[in-house]
Amino acid sequence: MLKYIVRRLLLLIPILFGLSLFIIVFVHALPGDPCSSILGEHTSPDRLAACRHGLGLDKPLYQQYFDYMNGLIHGNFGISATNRVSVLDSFVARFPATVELSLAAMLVAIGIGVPLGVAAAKRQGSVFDNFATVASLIGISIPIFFLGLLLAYVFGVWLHWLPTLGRVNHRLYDFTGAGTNFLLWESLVINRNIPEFLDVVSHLILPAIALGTIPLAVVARITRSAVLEVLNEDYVRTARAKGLTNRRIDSRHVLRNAMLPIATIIGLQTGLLLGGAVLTETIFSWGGVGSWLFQAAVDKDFVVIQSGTLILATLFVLVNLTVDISYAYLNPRIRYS
Amino acid sequence: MLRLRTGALIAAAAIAFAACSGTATTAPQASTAPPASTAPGSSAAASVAPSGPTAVNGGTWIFGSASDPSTLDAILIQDGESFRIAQQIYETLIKLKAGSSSDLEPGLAKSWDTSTDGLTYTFHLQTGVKFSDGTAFDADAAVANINRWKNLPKPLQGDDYYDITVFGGYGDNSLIKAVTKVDAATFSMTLTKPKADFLTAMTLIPFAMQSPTALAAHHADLGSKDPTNDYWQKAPTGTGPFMFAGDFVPGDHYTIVKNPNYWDPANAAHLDKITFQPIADSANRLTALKSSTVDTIDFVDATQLKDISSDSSLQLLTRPPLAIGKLGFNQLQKPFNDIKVRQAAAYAIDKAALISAFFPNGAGTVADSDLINNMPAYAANAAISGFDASKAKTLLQSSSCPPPCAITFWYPDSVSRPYMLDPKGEYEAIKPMLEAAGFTVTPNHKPWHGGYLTDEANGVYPMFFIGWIYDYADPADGPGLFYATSTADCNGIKQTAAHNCEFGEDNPAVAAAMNKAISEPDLATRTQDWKDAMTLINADVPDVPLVWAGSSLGSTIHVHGYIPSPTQSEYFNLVWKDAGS
Repeated sequence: MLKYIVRRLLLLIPILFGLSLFIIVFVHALPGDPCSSILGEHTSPDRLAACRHGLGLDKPLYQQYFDYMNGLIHGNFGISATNRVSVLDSFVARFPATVELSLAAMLVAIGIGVPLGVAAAKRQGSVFDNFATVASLIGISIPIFFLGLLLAYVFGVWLHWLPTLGRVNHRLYDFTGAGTNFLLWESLVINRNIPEFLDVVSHLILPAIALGTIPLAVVARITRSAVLEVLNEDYVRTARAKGLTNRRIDSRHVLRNAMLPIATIIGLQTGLLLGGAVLTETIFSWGGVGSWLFQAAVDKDFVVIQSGTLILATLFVLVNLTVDISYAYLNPRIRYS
Repeated sequence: MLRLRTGALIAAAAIAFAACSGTATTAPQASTAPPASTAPGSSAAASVAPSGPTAVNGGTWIFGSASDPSTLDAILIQDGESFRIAQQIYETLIKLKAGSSSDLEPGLAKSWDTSTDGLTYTFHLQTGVKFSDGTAFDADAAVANINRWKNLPKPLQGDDYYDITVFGGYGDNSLIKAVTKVDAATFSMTLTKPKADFLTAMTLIPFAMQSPTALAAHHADLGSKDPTNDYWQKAPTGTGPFMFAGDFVPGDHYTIVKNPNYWDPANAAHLDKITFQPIADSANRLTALKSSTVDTIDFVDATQLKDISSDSSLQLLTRPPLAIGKLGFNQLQKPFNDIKVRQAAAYAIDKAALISAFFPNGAGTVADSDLINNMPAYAANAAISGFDASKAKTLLQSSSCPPPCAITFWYPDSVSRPYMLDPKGEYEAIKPMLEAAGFTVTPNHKPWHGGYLTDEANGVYPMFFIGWIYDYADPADGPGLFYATSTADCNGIKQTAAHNCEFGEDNPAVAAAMNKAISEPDLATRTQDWKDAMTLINADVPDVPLVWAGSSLGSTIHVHGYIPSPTQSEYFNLVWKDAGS
């Protein structure tokens, strides 16, 4: 197992190398550069040239790449061209918001998707199954921006039940103490303040539902098909013939064997969500990495796009590695070497 | 107009005219400087204190801004969101009166004198002032700040837009010749040459006073690449009525709190705390306001104005216009090298129809000049009288490009500016107007930051949308930039003489008239000089001014005392909220 993990981690090096090459070529192939967003309208060609020189954009692309990689090897992820803040600092500041939102969205997806999929499979062909199938299709098809705005308008503007942006009500609470930016953790564990914790949770509800809808639908669909497949297996029939209760059959024979594809899809979806949810973060003004990278793309802030993407790619690979490792526990027949 | 000023108007410095040193070369500026006996606390902010119900102290104000601040090291600030916060935690020697774009009032200097040659300014400072870290604000601190502008550390050079714009360079190249302490509460500043708008420029928040102790302790001079420099993120320190609360989460919020030791009790903040929450999208800002998640939002979309003004729980706060949107021509490119073609296009556009469709509810008014009609140098455009379809046809018929005259029309993608809310929609509205005059229009477009701005600056486009949000209400900050010439290459073509790449406006008479206006210290003469320059510019028809646009804030009715300013010099110490709101 250890060898397997080490090998997978070593594989990260060529993956990130290739990715860095791809990103820098791709980013520089886009029209424009950060100088237009720095200098704005009615600038002059000489100021543009000076700006490009200052950022090193007048160097040949291979030279820019080597300079960038040289910095990266020395732990320097670079400085944003537009606000002169370290990319790593910005990432560290924003990533906790993305983690909390992603986990909350996956909680929605798993908490509803798995039971929905199991129930649909067990009632195959029933009205409930058809309803679950249609609901899943709607969940996959509905545009997040539409759902997000709808949720914000209904629950925020009409009903005034839930807040429509941010992570906490600043009229009531401050988080100037621990500074981890994991607000759920800070409010519950560090501050031990239940009303504060509930306020943070209330801010999470709408964005988590908006972001969790697609994973929910995917998880429900995969769960249904995985459970259906297992339900037709001989060992399930045998278990029934043995007179085991339905509950025991579901928990020990069906779900456990169906978990492999479900775990895979949960892992992949979590990895994707950690990459930031541009639309959800924008609609709910959630200060995570998605909105950060989106703004960098708008501003053509090359360094932020490059380093941010590399950090996220590394995380994605690590999440997938974790999922692969979890297989061994879910299915003892799987052995890594 | 710079990057993050998406819809933002930048603070201060309105109308250099009002502060021309030419009027003050023989005596202290009676019109702008207060009497020598001016006492701390008597600044004009008090005179504009909220009327009506009695102000309530305390409470937290949630302000929905458009983005995070990008720096709070004052001398490096160049974007509207940074200006907004800096305006509350820092103070300048001289301030703009709240809501005014021209009236100066004492700030950290209670009075000032100007030498007869217009080169030396002596500032008499308020006494008993301390930065929020306890450091005394005195002549030593002021001299240290100004020397920092003059000799800006190398790692910061190039990021100081306003320092370069106002003072021209560093060390011996700076307009600042010397700064000398006279006594603990007095210092003098000597310039290398007279500068007509010097006092007005000193109201700009980049020229605010910062604690030398905090700057040194947080290594502000080492630049952004040095990891020990955490000044603006951790300890921006000024003398203002608010101070940084130590609570900044990028992308989420920035919080300032009342400065309990503010030096001017009469103008101390009413609010305990202000949290700025960045909300990039205007529709989301409105949703946040309507759901009471925030108390106030900025940059209300034109289509939202009616919605807000008709909602009894909300109020609209409108800034007078200070932005111009226009259709530019490059006079070096065919067929716009022929003035008759430019004139024909100018007469062909029904601006009133355009404004009513794209700038509804008073978001914009019909423009006829690069200058805004509230500027002293503004005069109605005598060269192009207004929409006249038949005149447009006649002019095009007699031009070097008779109908069908093929033209390429460039508009930007992925952008909405206060003066250009829907570029593609506006293009589609103008196209049939031009076609009615005999043009055949081919559209072309590029992303705003994906090459449009750089190509436009390089003179690539023959006809294009562009605009400007004035930093301050001075023609030097508008036409003075649009039609400036340089010897830089245009679109890769080597230039042998000074040349305007963007519009191809190379009329020597225009250049001479603008230079005269920019360097003229006398207010009346300067105003007339700009009128003369604008007459020449308008006659060349380098563009079609389309719209003068302002900006608006939306707020709940529980917020009081907000005084909108065309230059966004807005002082939040005047703001208060109803109790319990």
